[in-house]
Amino acid sequence: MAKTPTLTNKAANVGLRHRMLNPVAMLWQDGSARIGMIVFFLFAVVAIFAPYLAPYPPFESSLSEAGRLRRLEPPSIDHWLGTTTFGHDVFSQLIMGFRLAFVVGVVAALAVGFVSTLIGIISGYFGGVIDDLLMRLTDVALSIPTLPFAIVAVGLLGPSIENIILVITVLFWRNGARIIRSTVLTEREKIYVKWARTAGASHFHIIINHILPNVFRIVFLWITMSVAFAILTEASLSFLGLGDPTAVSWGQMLNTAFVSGSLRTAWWWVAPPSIALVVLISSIYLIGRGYEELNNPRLRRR
Amino acid sequence: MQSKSIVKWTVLLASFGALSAANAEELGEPVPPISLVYYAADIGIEHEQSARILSSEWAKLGLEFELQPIQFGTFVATINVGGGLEDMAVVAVGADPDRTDPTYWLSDSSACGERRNASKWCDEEYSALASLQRTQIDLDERIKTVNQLQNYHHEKAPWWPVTHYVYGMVWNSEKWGNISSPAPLAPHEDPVRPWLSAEPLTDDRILDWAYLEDVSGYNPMAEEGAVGWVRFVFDTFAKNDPSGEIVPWAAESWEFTDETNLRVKLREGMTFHDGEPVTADDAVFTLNKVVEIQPPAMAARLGNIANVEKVDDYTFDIQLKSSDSAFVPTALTFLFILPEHVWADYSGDFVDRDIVADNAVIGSGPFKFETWRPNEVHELSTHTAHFAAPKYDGVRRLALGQSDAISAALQAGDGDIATAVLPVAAMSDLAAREDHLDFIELPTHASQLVWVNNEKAPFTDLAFRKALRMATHNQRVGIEAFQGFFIPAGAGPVPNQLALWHDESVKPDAFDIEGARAILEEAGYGWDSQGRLHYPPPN
Amino acid sequence: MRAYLISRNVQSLFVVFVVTSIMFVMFRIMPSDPTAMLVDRGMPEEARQALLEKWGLTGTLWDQYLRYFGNLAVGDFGESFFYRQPVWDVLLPLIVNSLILAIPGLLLGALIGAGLGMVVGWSKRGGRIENIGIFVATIARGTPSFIVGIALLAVFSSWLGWFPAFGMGDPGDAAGSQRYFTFEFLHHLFLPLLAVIIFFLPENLLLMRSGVVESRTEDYIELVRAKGVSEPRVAWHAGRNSLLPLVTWLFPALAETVAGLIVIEIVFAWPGVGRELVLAVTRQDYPLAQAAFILMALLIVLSNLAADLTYTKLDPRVAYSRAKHG
Repeated sequence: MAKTPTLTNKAANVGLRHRMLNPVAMLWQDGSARIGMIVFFLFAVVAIFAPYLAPYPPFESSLSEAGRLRRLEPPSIDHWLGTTTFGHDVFSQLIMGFRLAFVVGVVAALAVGFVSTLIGIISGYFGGVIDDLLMRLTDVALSIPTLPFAIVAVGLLGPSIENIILVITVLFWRNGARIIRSTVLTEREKIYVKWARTAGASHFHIIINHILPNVFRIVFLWITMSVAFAILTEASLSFLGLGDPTAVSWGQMLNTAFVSGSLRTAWWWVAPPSIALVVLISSIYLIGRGYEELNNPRLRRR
Repeated sequence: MQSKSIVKWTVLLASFGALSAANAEELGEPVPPISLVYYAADIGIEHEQSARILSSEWAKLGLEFELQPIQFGTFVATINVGGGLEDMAVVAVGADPDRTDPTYWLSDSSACGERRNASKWCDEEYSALASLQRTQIDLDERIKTVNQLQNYHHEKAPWWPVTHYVYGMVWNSEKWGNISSPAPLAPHEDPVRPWLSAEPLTDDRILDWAYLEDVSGYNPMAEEGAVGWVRFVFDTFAKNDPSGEIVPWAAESWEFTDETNLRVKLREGMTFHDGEPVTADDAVFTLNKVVEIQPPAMAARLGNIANVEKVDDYTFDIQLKSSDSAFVPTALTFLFILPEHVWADYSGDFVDRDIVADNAVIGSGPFKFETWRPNEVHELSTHTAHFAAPKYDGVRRLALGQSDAISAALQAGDGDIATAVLPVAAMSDLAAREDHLDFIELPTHASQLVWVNNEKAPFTDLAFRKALRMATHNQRVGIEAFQGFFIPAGAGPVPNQLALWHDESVKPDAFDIEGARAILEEAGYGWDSQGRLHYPPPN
Repeated sequence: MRAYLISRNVQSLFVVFVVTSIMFVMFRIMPSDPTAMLVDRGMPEEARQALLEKWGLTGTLWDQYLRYFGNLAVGDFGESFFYRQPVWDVLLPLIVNSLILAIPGLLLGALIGAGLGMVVGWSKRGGRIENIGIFVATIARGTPSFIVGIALLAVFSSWLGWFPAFGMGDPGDAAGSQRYFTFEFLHHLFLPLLAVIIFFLPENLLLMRSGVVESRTEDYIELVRAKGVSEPRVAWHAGRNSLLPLVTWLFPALAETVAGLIVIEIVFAWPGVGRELVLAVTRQDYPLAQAAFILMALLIVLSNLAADLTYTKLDPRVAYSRAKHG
């Protein structure tokens, strides 16, 4: 193994790329993970092209020839999924909702991944007082009730996408940090790390070249799961009326249906965002599940 | 249709841009983006939609907007009374009974230094006139001043109305008859209609009111959120009438014996819920007590009372510090009578007293307090000895917390009547779907308003304000955000529902973007090649 | 062992203290003035000061902080801005209402989930039962609880009309503790309870199934089978060992449920702590929101502690290793 600290950049890059693709290739072998990945990919495509796919601006009221609001209309040729109580096109809102779910999910998950990896590695690698301090901090963070905190924090900070992402990051780094730390603990004791250290490699070098690549799988899994947590949290907040009002999200669509008293009648308005949420979150759980099956040798099929 | 008009505007903007680009050196600084705040959806779903519609129209003047929803509580604290308006706000004010008097609109919301003057406009001449109207006891004289104020206000455009609210009421018409309209008052603010007039058609003699929120308590010195409900239990001296007049209630009559002395005569034969008679002693005790302790919730209404004195068993005098024509409509309809025998010996803080725990929820109102389960249900039973006692046994207020539960309750027959929270359009839909439900519209003086920060440029400029007002698309807001349940606002600050006070001769602007742009151009504003609005060039 | 217990308790206390402090600071640094919306216009400055004093909002932040903790130490959460009653009086019945939904929901969810997990775990590897079981459980796990609630309402209340849509009972029902023993109450409880069960079931199912699958490969199972024990009983043997982690998992799960109950309480208009928390936040009723939040955090800390202690009792090695590392 890399005994000397003079690994070329190119080689390191190849190694990294290999490791980035590795989990995906590995997951492809698992049936349910494959379904999850395909669904996730399709949703991502819709999210990217959402503005081109949505036939109307999401907040544009549809008016009849006589100038009356076309409110709560069931699906028709004009409005594939009908209209809301404000005459907005449900289909357009649904499509734009893909985008918000992905923005919140991916940005928040990357932030969560970054913070938990940073804390997990520092804590696990250096140990001692730093570890103690960081783990006490994690204990505190773990005692914060998730949704109540999100409600209070967003209620106080004001509902915006930035604040929601911030709150999600503050909430979900904690479990990740713990898991990553324990992996780092075992990596740290590996023989090649000790060699590298005796060979005079800097801590930074060891972390980047030896520790990080080996905890990458765990980080990858944690980021994947965080996408689901983030989407779920955003949806719950939006459903409670604490979503960003300037963007369309599925939770917010349901909230508007709920507070306008349309839940019982406008199935075309309620069902699409519900189904989209369930399918997206489940697809991520399927990926996570497949990952677990593959990594736990005792669960693996023989 | 929509997209066509957008295209039209783009073309128009581009041509304007091309025109002014030639004179680019004559432009001042660009007008910076404007923050537009509005109530978040926790208090209703129409505000956000209104803000989107209005800002998209104003944007056609070459302006840019940043929309910012604020939770209702924070909004009121920081902007309505906190003086924290940054640029602009789209807000709504409710149909409170005391707002049937023009003082709220002309003075409280518009005069220099008033706590609720959120637009921060200050015009000394106007303010002096606003104080004057309050001291004019002669109605004709006062109306003259009020009209003058409306013209002045309209001319200066410190803030302006967009639409007025049409509330709704939906009820089970198989079980309840004679449900009468309280308009322009809101049903949850007025105990008389529809509540006291309702008649049961079956042997279910409890009226179940499916409502959203809880009441915060029964102590009338502390309660503000549900004044109407607490006045079911505690009688006021007078009541607002839908016609705009103030009619006798616990007081049989009143008259000014001189400029500052109001003689009030109580109705005879009233009793408290514990059977004791109501006398002038109780009224005098209550009024002098609240004047002494000045409960924060009541301070504004009490401010002008100097002293209260008993004349005989049913008559007393309220001495005012200065003559006050708004006293009867705002204070007599609000102040209440506590039983002296329940309160005289209480040594603690009156405002703080938990009267539910003390079994002291005793008034003389048409209903007696029975039970309260926080965030679930309040139950009152009929005080049969009351002069206006309803023909049924009691009323329950269900705190259901959400619209869906309210419509479910009405559909299933658990709720007999709903008056708010469920959007009016949803009430109307519900009644159209269900045979046993009836619906009426209640046009009110509740208003959606546009506030601008009169202390900050560009809103300090009258031409800019007038241009914005002309570009305020009332009709679109009414149809798209209020879903057709609205009354287009007239001109001036006093709502056109208040027939007695509203000055018909002031004419509202017709919505006109080109006209608005013309106003701006005349005032020296210009547009750059991107169509953005610039201040007039400095001289 | 005792040293471990003591340090663990001190730790928990510390955590509660820090979480409470965070909440305190969060609520105080907000710009808005809580008296502004509580009082009518034209309130004299004196009266405003009196109000501020009453709510403990005078003095420096530090003074307020000390006062707040002084009061907390004697169990005083202060007075609700909205209800103008001691926070504790408002919250107590709501806590009961929340627990009455959370505890049976959790237990039933765990029981049914574990049972189904055993079936799925013991089914043929790669067979139809396993595939469908896992697939359905994963999707159920991916369904936000408000969507479960909306779906239940749509089907059982709106469409079929079998169950009431909101609240805990009919308005005219018995008051006090008696209300919990009426048919009406159970009738109202059913749908929200079902939502809580569905919230819990998949997690339990998957946990149990993993446990069973893992223990299937253990030697002793072969031994049990070799003794000629019937197949369901073998499954029970395999599953029994997976119950332990499940049991210790229940404590933290209870805390998460009470917190996660919020959206279910909102959808079904159930008068519980979670719904009150949301209302308190929108009403800016800080003392109430703060108290509800702190109680939820306390519940989490206590249940983590309980889980830890149970585990320690069952497996002393844990205490040793944790004392060393943790």
